[in-house]
Amino acid sequence: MPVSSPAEVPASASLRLRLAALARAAALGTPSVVGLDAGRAGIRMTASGGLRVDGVVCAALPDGRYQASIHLVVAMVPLRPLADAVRAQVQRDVTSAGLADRLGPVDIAVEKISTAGEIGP
Amino acid sequence: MIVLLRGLLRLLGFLLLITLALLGLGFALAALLGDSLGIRFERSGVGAWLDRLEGSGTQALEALIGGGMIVLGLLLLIGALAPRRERRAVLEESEQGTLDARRRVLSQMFTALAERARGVTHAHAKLRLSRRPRRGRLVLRAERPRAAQSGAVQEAVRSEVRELGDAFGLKIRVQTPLGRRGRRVQ
Repeated sequence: MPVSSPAEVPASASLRLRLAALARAAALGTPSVVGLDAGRAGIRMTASGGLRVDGVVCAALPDGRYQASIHLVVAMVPLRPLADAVRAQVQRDVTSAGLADRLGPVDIAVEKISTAGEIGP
Repeated sequence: MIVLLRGLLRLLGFLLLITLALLGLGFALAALLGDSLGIRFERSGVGAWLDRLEGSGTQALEALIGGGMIVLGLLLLIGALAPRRERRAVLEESEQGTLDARRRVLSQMFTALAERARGVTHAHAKLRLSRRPRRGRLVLRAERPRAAQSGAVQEAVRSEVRELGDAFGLKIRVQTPLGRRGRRVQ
């Protein structure tokens, strides 16, 4: 079942899924992010215990943290500031949830772009 | 158009594979049950070749063909089963994570930037990414009206796309042909 907000994830859910749900909500809350993209086959997602977070791939790292890859659909805006804003929002939300020490690198992948707006690196 | 051609190519490939499989099956059945099916290889070219193959001594040519077929089969299997990795344009890699974009996304951005330049009626970006990160080649075709000078349009397009191109480490080439009738200048 797809999860659209962290509130839908039960406390008993895996840490991987909770982080993915937080990252998804944070990304969607960032200005200029139009949506998330799970790919044509829907493989860019994190699934656990019958629940699924589309557009975010959360993978365990050897040091116990989790790396999150967020696959975005964005407006025509400079990409670096956008990535910084998404990372900052993810960090903020994960810290609020008390999971800051479990979050590793956050990869930003721009999959699609919607037309109109400012452009730049 | 390209989608149609790809579909046609897949269909032809599928039909060719079925034809090859049926031919192979036919030869195998003929070899195994030739007598009962009334197929005779004696005194034919195939029969002579089979006799030579079964004879003593080394059949270097046949061994080479057989080995080559096995290698070709293995290569085809690898080609069919190995996952295709999409080449992506990497903008930054750091401890915080990577930032990358699909080639199509970047092409769209470059097209939009080029069309913003003064004197451009229509633009098309063609992006080739290298296997190494932050390397690639961008060819921008920016159409212009007869009244606009090629050099000026080239410079205007370059100044629009330079920042983004440099960020991705791209070599940029700008072409400024005359535009088609009916396309409006920016």
